Amino acid sequence: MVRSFAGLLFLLLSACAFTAEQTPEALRTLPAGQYQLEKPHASLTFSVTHLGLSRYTLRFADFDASLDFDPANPTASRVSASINPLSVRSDHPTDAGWDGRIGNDILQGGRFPQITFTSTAVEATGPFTGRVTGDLTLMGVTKPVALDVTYNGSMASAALYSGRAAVGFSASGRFKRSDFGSTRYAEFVGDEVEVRIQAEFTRR
Amino acid sequence: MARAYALKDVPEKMMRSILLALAAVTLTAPAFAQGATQAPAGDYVLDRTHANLQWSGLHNGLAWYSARFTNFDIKLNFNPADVTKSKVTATIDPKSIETDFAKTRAAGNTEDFNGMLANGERFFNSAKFPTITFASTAVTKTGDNTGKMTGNLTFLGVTKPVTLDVTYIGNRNDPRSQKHKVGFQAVGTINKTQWGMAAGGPIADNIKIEINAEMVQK
Repeated sequence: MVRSFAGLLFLLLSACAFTAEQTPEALRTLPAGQYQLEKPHASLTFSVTHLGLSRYTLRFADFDASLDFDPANPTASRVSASINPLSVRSDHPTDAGWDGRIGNDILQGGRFPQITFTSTAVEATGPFTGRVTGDLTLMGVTKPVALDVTYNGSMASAALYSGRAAVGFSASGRFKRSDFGSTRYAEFVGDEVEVRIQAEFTRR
Repeated sequence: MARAYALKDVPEKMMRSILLALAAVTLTAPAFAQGATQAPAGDYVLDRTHANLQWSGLHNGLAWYSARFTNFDIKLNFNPADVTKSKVTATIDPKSIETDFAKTRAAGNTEDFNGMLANGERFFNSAKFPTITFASTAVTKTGDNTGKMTGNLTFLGVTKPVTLDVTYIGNRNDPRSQKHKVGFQAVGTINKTQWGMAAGGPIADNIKIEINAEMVQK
């Protein structure tokens, strides 16, 4: 008989895992269904070459994603995401208006307030890796983009997330900004945009 | 009706724009990235507007929790004739940690997570250790544009060697400042517990570091 709330909590938590495992067993025991992004444990960056000298890196502080995950058949999973272009962060050391200019002038966030991605196909490329193809809509233009995704691990019951199921991924991909009509500053900024994503999801 | 334009039909002002555009395209073609040996020798300082320093650690085995320091500085003494004789020093302000928590936290959560990481004794403890420093001790070449840079990293009052994989990306004259610039990326992994940061938290011991930096001739 559990005598206290603390005791009950302890019993509940002791059934939970603290660290995810990248194993077929962990994947198999994960419940299927709708997962939401754990925003504080997620990151998304775009990198472009500047002057052919550096990987200029922009981070988006505000984005969301949802995942319809099928652990028995991961290639049947679906993912969609939306990014607020005005949440771009460049960490400019002196110009407080710089991020606003990237968000408004280059990404045209006023006119196109969301960058979206909706998966259209998932293929497995290894036991814990896959390729997610989807439609990226950027500045009103929709084109297919592929992301290479790694399943890092999962927990059927995560202590951190009040016992909910959790799964984590890393993803990366590239697209040409000119495909989406972005050609500003082509004399300084490269055409290829590298996307890097870290994302933890929990069962709704 | 279409008609063929001869060059003489193009107004002078438009001609100038076309020539400028052509010059820009030529300048930015991959070929402009000359060999490191063509960059001038001497002291270079960081162009902080074109630099970033991120770190990431595997969080509960799920995903690589990523944050960055927004205030850091790098100095380079570049020796293009023998790049292994180049030297680098760097300083990082741990109080400049940025996790974007203020934008990603749940509604109603007012925690100052950046401040907790910057000041917490279990984390960066910045009141006691206000600066993280790096000073290179050796550079070796591993390829035409790659090398390994070993140096002393001083963090939480502990000094230990680290080795970064450095990629030389290119060099050119900066059209705006008219000064010469060289660009690098450096990546590495450190075990945070070797500098005394507590083990056993949700972030695994091995921390990946990535630095992208344009260095401008002093």
